[in-house]
Amino acid sequence: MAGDKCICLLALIIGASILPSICDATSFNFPNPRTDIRNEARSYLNGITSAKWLEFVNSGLDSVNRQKRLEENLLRSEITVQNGTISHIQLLDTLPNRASKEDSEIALKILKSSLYVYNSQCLSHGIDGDECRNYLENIPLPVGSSLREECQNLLSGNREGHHAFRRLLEPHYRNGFHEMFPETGRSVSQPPAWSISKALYEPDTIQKAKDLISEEKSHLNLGLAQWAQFVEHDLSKPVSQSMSTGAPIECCSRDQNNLQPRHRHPACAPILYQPSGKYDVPSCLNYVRSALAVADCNFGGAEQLNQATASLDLSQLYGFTSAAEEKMRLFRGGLLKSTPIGQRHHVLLPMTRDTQDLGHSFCAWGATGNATCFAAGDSRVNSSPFSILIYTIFMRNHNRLARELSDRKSGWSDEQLFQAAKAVNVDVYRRVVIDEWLPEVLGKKLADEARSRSDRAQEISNEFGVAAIRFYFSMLPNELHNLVKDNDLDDNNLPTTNLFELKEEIYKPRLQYTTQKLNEILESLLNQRTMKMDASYAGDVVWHKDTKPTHADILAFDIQRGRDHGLQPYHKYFEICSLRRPVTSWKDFEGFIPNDVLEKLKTIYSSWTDIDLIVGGISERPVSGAIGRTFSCILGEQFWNVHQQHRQQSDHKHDSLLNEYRHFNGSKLLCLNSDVRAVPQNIFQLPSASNQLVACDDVV
Amino acid sequence: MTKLVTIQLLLASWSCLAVLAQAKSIDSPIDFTTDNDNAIAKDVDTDPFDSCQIYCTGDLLHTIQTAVPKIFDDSKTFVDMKLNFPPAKTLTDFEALMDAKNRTPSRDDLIEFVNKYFSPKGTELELWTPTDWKENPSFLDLIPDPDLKQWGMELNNIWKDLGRKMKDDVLKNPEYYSIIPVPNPVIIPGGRFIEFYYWDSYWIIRGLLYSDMHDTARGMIENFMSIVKRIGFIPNGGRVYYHGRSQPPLLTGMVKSYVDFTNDDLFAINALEVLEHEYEYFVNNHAVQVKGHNLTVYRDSSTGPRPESYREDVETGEKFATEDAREDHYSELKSAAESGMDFSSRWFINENGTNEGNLTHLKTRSIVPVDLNAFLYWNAKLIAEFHAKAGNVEKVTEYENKAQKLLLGIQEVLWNEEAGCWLDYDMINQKPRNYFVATNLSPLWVKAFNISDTEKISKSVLNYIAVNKLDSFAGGVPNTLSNTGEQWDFPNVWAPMQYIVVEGLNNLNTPEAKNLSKSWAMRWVKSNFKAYSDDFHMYEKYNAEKFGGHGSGGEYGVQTGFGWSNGVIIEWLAKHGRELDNGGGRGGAAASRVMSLVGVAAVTIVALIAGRVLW
Repeated sequence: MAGDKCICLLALIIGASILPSICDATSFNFPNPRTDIRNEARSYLNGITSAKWLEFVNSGLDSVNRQKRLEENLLRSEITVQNGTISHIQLLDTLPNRASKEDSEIALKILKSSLYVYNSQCLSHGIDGDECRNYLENIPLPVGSSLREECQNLLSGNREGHHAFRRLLEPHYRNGFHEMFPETGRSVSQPPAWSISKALYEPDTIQKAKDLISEEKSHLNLGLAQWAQFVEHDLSKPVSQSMSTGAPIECCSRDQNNLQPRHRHPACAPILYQPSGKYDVPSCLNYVRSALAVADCNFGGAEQLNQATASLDLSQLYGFTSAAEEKMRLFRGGLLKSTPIGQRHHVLLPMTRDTQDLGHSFCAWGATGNATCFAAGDSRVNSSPFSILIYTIFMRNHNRLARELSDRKSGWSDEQLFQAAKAVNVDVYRRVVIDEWLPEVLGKKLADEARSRSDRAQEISNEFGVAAIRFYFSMLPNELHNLVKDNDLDDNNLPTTNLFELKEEIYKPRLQYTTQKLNEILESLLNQRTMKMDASYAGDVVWHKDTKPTHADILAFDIQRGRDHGLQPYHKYFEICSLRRPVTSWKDFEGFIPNDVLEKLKTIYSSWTDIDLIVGGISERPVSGAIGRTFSCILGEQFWNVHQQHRQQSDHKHDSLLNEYRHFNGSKLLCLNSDVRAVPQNIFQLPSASNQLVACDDVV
Repeated sequence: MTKLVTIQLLLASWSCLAVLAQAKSIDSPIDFTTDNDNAIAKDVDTDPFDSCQIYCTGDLLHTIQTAVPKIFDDSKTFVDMKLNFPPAKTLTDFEALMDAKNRTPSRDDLIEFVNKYFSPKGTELELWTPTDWKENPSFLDLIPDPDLKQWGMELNNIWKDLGRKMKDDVLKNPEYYSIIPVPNPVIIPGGRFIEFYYWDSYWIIRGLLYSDMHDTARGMIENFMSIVKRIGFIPNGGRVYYHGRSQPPLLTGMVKSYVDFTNDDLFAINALEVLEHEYEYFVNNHAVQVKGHNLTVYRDSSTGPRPESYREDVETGEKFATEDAREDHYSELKSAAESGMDFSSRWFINENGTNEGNLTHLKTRSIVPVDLNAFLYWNAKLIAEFHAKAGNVEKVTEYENKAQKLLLGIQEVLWNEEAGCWLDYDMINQKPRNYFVATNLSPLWVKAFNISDTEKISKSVLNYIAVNKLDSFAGGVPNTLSNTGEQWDFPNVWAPMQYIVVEGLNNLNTPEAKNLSKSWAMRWVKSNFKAYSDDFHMYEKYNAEKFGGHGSGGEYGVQTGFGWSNGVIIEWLAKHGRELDNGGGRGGAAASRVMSLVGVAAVTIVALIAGRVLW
């Protein structure tokens, strides 16, 4: 690849510094020079005998095995995620399946073995973590070790529905392998995730007031955020590590205090906050380190597992594996399962009780047995009414298509109907995402660039999955106003009622879901402006108070997860994406980050070199689309690859059928799968003179 | 001699302790003849300290320590606070509060009470710079490597931060404090351990002696002796709430170290009465009979949860159905604390007789520990040795006999031919416990074996080490191989255990054992140095799986300071400094490359500045 050569040359000339503008053909080239290995280090490590390599693997396996005893103790003390808790909600966001757990366990064994080499050979010989890891990444697991066999079986087997996240830049760990940087200490430390989130928070009233007087009022509606989440569910799902028994790991006590150290699982990295009061004990939110994935059967550092596929294929609806898909199918008429409701033809998603699930892997209800809980291909379907709605729309669309096809193609089997309906459904979805949603997010120019050809389709990047695509949380409001046309408005032209408060609905569908209710939600979200894309999130998605939390803090979670995944600090991406030269001082961020936010960041971080990617990303002023330059670049790079993935995967089996549905767009999708009377032409923008409403009756 | 008299005078003036000092004074004969049969001397039952009614047991302690939500993150905080009013008034007023609040005061009520009746922890102690501290102690001359020498200097500096002196008010009004008054300033371990500790002090004192601080070392030894005179034994640490438990008895070893460094034989001879007293008292209160041998176990003589970990103990106690079972459990917890290894799978016996389980399976009192018996053997040998210096032939014979009896017991009950090592003995299931614990090698350290068997023991022990893959850990020899989450289990490594194992192997005197001993010592030093380079901390415990990684687990976060870790490193820097070169270990490749250019001096200056700022 031309880019690679260019990078090599660069690396030779200027070492670690970067000048991407010279060589990138598109906006999406991430030059990633690796730490080089010194000759003396290489020759020392080359001298390790094969018997020794085998010993390291055995030590790694011993270490993993020893951990089982700790896990038995934890389970005996009931230190695991309890149903209905905040930790349960977080778990559903990151719920691993069995195959992921197996993958992660093998990856953990490889990591532990690598760490034995690092600790016993590298460190004592002055070889640092990055250098050691780079060396080890080229050393295959020793022949004759059970681990090598296990690994090869895994890779040669059907590794369905999950992969290792790709890295745009080298991992950034304290020891080069997996260790997070400490929050306290004297040499290298970074501010605790939760205190960053708290410092960035602005009271909701102030946020709203600012939004109201803002000159640059967004023309985007909440559909943009809703679809961002839906796309995230399709492409990215980092999942938590589990105990070897499969049980989920809990890192906080039930009263949201820190656990005693004896109860801390090695995969724990709880999100802690110490209030300033004399008798305040630290609050705790669960954070379990992400599951690992086997990258290859070599030694090396940690790579995180993505329990999702790298193409837009509605796997969040249909399931990421064929087994999961089977659970969703009715096996009649090509239909997906659904819940009939009332006399209307628009149905709801199937309930978990209809999919052999006990409910705890979809909703965070405690003991309540009969509570509403929808099922889909992804554990995140119930994350909010927004997600429930869009999953429902695509389920309805599938079934509508299947019926339509069934009418037209008599004699087609359930399987034929299902596959054809799915193909069309996915195609419609892709076109809305790529042609309608992406230009709103990235701006037209970048969105077009993301469609240019590349020579390979790469996996989902870590930076995309755990940072850039998470931008939409900044846009979410605390409540969805009732903006249905005939609803009462108060003196300020604001609706007097809300459809729901977000914090009440996260993984606990309390609303009485009916077709009518979904229509109201749809109509309202198309008419409600997104919150400003900035560094302060609404109070319902963060926990800014000093009291014990009763819901999660998404921003703190995302910061922590970025660190868990070893993302480089923000400025590294900023240099490549935005500044196009190395950052030398805080001043370099001016113009990209609004001054008041920049001042805030200076009080939070002692150095600009520490700014977390997610924090820098949401702080940037949106450019041509909905988000700042750095996130645009990471998202663009990803969709560039996703697009290529689509080209490579296409089997052209349903080509003619797909052609028949070419006219299908976002507004049509919404009209045909709901009872709203009209939707805006551009479903991601507020209705306006330039974005006229389309009457659904006119849509056929 | 005159110093001792002064101390005694001083002691006599402490009204609260005077009665006790008389009762237990070594001048009045104590009957030590009725040993064994699980006898716990009656005089320990009565609390020797006035402030114990606040800090050791009772409603006030219980209510504050179990408040919901908890008032203190660390249970030890409360029991280290100073009283603002006399204990009696405090209790009366607390009773009144309880009555007024229908016996269910709110957390805020309790906070208000604490604010009024207690002052912050640690106010009874002031920082004390040891008067005999030397800028350039002689051990530094033994370290040619500039990085390690610099580190040695910084470790020497840390003594100044760990020095503590009691305020005069403690001597005047001891009932206002949980601290046990002692005449001389001390070096504390550090972190949450803001008072002196018994067995920690052995390694601290050795470190002080290597740092040419003989006066501070002697002062600490004399403190311990003064306590033995008052209450017959040395509590776990310098707080009244440790009144029912001791720690591995190493006072005699401290005296031995002092005499080795100073050649002050007279000091040992003058200490003999106290050392004998402690020895007899300890044996008397910890005796068991196994297979016809009189051996010892760890025990405690108080009631209730550990005051300094009250909440935690109540929590595990809840798993037991009856009050008796709970009280037994508290006893096992406190006995484990006496062993110094609180807590460890070493003390677990489950229904199947294995070490699997958790704190509810603690059976400390039913396990005959290798280390305790080896230490007592050593005490007897040393007492005999000191008597020999004084020419007390009868006493020499008496203590040699005691030592020989113990040695026989150790050989017949604790040595395990199959395993090729000493093993703790399970009295419930009447079988040896074949699990690796670092203390399994402790007889090597105190030479509790027949010297004529050296070759054979060396072979067995080296085989035992190989079978357990003890050499495979970059961060030192783990305390056990069971990962339970407890702090004295895998993967934690502790400086004193590393010391016992390394010095023990060295005592074997075979080339193989000596080589392994040296390589482990050097590895330990380098690993500690790496940890120190990363964060400028010495830790209480380290991690066997990480070169330069600190430990974790247990009931509180890892502590820094840290007395015994510093002591062991200073000793080994002195012993092995000439052979140690820090081949670029500091900060890894990147740093060492930079350092070769910029030079060590700059790093030294930075470290020095950092050191000043930090401590």
